[in-house]
Amino acid sequence: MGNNYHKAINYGLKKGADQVELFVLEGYSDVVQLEKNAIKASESKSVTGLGVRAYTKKGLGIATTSLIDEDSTKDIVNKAVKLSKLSPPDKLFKTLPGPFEKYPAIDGLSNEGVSNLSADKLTEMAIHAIDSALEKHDVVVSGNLTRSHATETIYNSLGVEVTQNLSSLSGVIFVKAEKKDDIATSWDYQKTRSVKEFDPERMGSTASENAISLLGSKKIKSQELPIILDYRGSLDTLSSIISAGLDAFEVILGTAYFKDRLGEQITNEEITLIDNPLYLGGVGSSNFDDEGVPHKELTLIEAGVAKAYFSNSYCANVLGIKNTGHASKGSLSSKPHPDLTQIQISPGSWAVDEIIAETKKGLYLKDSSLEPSSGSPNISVLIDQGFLIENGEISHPLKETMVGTNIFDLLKNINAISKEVVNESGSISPAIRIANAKIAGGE
Amino acid sequence: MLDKIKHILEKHSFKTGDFADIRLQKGSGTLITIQNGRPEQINYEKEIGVGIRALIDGGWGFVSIVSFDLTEIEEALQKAIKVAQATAKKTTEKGMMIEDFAVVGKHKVNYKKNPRDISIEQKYEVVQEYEKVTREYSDKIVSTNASIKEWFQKEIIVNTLGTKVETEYGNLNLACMATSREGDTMQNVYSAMGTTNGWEEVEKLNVTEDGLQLAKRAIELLKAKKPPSGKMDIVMDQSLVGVYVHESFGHAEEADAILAKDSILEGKMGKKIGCELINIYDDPTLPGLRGSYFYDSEGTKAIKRDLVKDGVQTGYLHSLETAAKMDAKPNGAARAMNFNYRPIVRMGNTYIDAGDSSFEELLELIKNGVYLEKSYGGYVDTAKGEFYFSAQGGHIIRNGELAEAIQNVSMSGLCLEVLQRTVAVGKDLRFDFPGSCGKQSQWVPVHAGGPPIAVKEIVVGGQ
Repeated sequence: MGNNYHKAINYGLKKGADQVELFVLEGYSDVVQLEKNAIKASESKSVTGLGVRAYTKKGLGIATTSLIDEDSTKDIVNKAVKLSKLSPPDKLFKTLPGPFEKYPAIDGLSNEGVSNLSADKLTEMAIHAIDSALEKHDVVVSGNLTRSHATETIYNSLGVEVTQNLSSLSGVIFVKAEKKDDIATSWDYQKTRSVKEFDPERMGSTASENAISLLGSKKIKSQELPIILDYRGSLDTLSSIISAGLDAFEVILGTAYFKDRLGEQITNEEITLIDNPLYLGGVGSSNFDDEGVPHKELTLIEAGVAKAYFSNSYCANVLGIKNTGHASKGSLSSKPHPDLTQIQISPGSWAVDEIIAETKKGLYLKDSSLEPSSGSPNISVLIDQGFLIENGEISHPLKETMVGTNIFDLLKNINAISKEVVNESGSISPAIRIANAKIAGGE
Repeated sequence: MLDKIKHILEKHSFKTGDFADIRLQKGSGTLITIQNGRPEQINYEKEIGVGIRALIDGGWGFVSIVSFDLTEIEEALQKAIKVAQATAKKTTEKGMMIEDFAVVGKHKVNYKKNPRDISIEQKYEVVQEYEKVTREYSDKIVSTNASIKEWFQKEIIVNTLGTKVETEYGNLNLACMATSREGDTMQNVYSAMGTTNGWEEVEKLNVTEDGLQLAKRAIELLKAKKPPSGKMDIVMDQSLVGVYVHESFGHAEEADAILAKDSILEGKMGKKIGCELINIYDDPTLPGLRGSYFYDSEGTKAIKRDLVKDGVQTGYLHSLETAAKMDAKPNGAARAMNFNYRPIVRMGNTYIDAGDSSFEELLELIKNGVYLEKSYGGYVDTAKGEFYFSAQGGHIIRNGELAEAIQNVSMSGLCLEVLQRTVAVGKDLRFDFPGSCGKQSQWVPVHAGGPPIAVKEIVVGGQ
C-alpha cells in the first residue's frame, strides 16, 4: 500500500497543495452486547477510513472517506486540496511535523492472542462476566465486551511514513440491584492489550458487589466536608483538570487554567504526575501520536509544580516550545489537537485505611470523579457512587448529593495521598483526600 | 439498487420468526469552524457502508461493511446469519420480531433552499460574522468558536418482512461558543441552532445580534454571583426543560430500557407518575427540528408518540422488536447513528406541552429560589431514576422577581419526584435544546423543549 500512499501524496502536491498528510485506519471490532443477564447480540464491524489534511498557502482542507480504494483516495485527496485553497490562511500555522529518525518500538501493542481471539471465546468471556455478577446476588446485568484491532498508517509530504498495529480487549459491565423499592446501580470496566490480563469475572463480581453496597442510600444535609477519592476517582479528576489546564492549544486560546503558570506550585508537593505513552502493556501506549510524531514520556507536575504544556506540532510551533507528541484526532475526520495518553501519578505517604480512619466526617467517592463542568474551572457534579464517612468509618451510601467547588481550590486542598497505587493497564493513581468542599444534599 | 438488495434477501430462506434486514447508507457533509479569528478547519466527510442484521432462532447477529459491492453484501449477510446462529446457542434471553409488518415507501427531502447549493464561501462568511461580533465585544472574551455543520444522507432499508424503504435525511447546525475570563474566573456560554430545514433557517437567524447577545452574557456572568448550594425551588427556562424532559423522562420511556429492567417506568403504564399539569410527547414528525425524520432506521414510518397525559403514563418508544415483545404497535423510534451500528430505541423531538402560566406567575409561585437558564447538557441513570444537568447561568429569584445573576451551575434530582413536584407549567413552548443524544456509544440528532416550569425542591450543586 505504501506506493499508493506515495502516489496519493504526490497527487495532492501536483494539485497544488504545499503539504499533504494521510491518516489511514484499517481494522475491525467484534462486540458482544449483554442485556438482562444474557447475550443480546453479537456484532462484527468494519472500522476503516482515510483522513486527508492538505495545506495550501496556510489554508487547511480536511477530507475523510470510509472507502479507501484507489479512486476514492484520489477523489478525497483532491477534495482536501480544493478546500485548502478555499480556506483563508491560518497565519499561525507553520508546518506539518517530520521527518523523524527514530521511533520507539513498544512491545505488545498488538497481541496475537487478542487479534486471533474467536468470536465464540469472546462470547464465553461475556457469559463468565454475567455468571460471576450473578454468583452471589440476584441482580440485573448488562454491558458489552469488545475486541478491536486496527492498523494506523500516517504518511506526510515531509517524509513521515509510519505504521502501527494496535489491538485491545475491553469491557464494561453494568449491574442493577434491587431491594423492595430501593434501587442501586454500579459498573466495572477494563481495557487491556492482552487476553491474559483481561478478567471478565472480576468485572462481573466487582460491579455486582458495588451495586449491592450502594443499596440503602440516604440523602444528607448540605454542608462542607472533606472528600476522599479512590484510585479511579482521583485519576479521572486529576486527568480532567490537567487535560484542560496544561493543554498547549488551550494555552493559545487563552482558556488553559494554568496558562503562564509553569513553575508555579499548583497542588500538594507530594504530587508528581507524568504522561507516559511508552509504558509496556499500557492501553494508552503507542509508538507515535496522530501526526506520526514519536511518543515520549512527559512530566506535567513535579512535586506539585506545573512543569510543561502538552502539545502537537501546531501548538509547539506557535508557542515556540518542544513538540511533546500529543496530537490526537478523536475521530478520523477531526483535526489533531493535543490530548493526554496515559497518566501516572506518584504515590504519597498515607495508607488508604489511615486516610479514612483519620476523617471524622466526610465523603468517600468510589469510581466517581469531580470534573470541571461547562468549560469553566467550576466543579458542580452529582456523586454517582459515594458514601458518608462518620467517625473514621464508612457509614452509608449517598443519594441526591452534589459537590460544588472549583479546580484551583480542589488542587490546593489535597491534604492526603495514599502510598498504595493502582495500575490499570498503564494508568497509575493513588487515592487522595480533598480537605474541604461544599456538599449540596437532598435532605 | 433496492431491488438488488431485496433479491439478496430472497435468495435465503428464513423460518417463521427469523428475520434479516439490510441497510445501505450513503452520506456526506461539511464542517466549517472559525476559532479566535482563525480558520480552524474546513472539513468534508463522506461515508458509505452497509449494516446487516439477522435474527435466527432468537439470536441477534450484526455485521457492517464499507462497500456497496453486491457479492460482499451477500457474504456479509451470510456472516450475520452465522453470528446470529452462534448467539442463539449461547443466549438465554431470546430476541423476537414482529410479524406482518411491512412498510413500502420513499421519502425525499424537499428543501426550500438546499444547503448544498450554498457555496463554501457563503457559509464561511456567516460563520465569520458570528465569531467576529462575539469576539470583538470585549477583551475579556478570550476564546470563541463558531461553526456550521451540514450533513445529508440517503438510506435504503430492506427486510424479510417485506419492508422496502428509501429515505433521505439532512441537518444543518450553526453554533457559537464564547469563553470570558478574568483571572481565574472563567465562564463559558454557547448558542446553537439546529434544523432539518434548509438554508432559509440560517438566513432567519441574525448572527450579528445573536453573537452580541452571547458575548454580553459571557461578560455579565464574570461578575455574576457564585450559585447557591442546596435543595431549593427553581424555575427552568425552555432549554433546561428540554434537557430535563429528555434526560430525566424520555430515556426511561424507551421500551428497550423497560424490557432490560433498566427503567424506573417499568410497570407504570396507565399510572399517575407526575402532577396533572404534565403532558409529554415525542414527535419526530414536527417539521424542521433536529430530531425530525420520516422513516426510522428499521424503515418504520415515524409518528407522534403520546408519553404522558395529565400526569399519567400513556406510551413507550418502540422498535420492531420491543413492539413485538410488548404486544404494541411499532412507532418508528429505532434509530442508528450510521451503518456501523444496530438501530436501538431513541427519541426524536421530546417536549412538555404548554400550560397556562405566564413567566411572571411562575416566579411569583416560587417566591424565593433560583431561575436557571441555557442548558449545557446532562445525563440520567434510567434504572435508578437519578438525573443530572447543567445550566450556563441563571438568576436568584427573590420575592417573586428575578434578582442578581448567578454563574454556571448543575442540578440533580430523582426523575419521578421532580415530575410530581412540578407546581406550574408556563405557556410559552419553545424547542430551545437542539442536541445530540448519546446511548450505547451511538449519537443521534435530537431536539427537546417545553415551556418554562416551576419545580419545588431540586438539589442545586452550587460552588
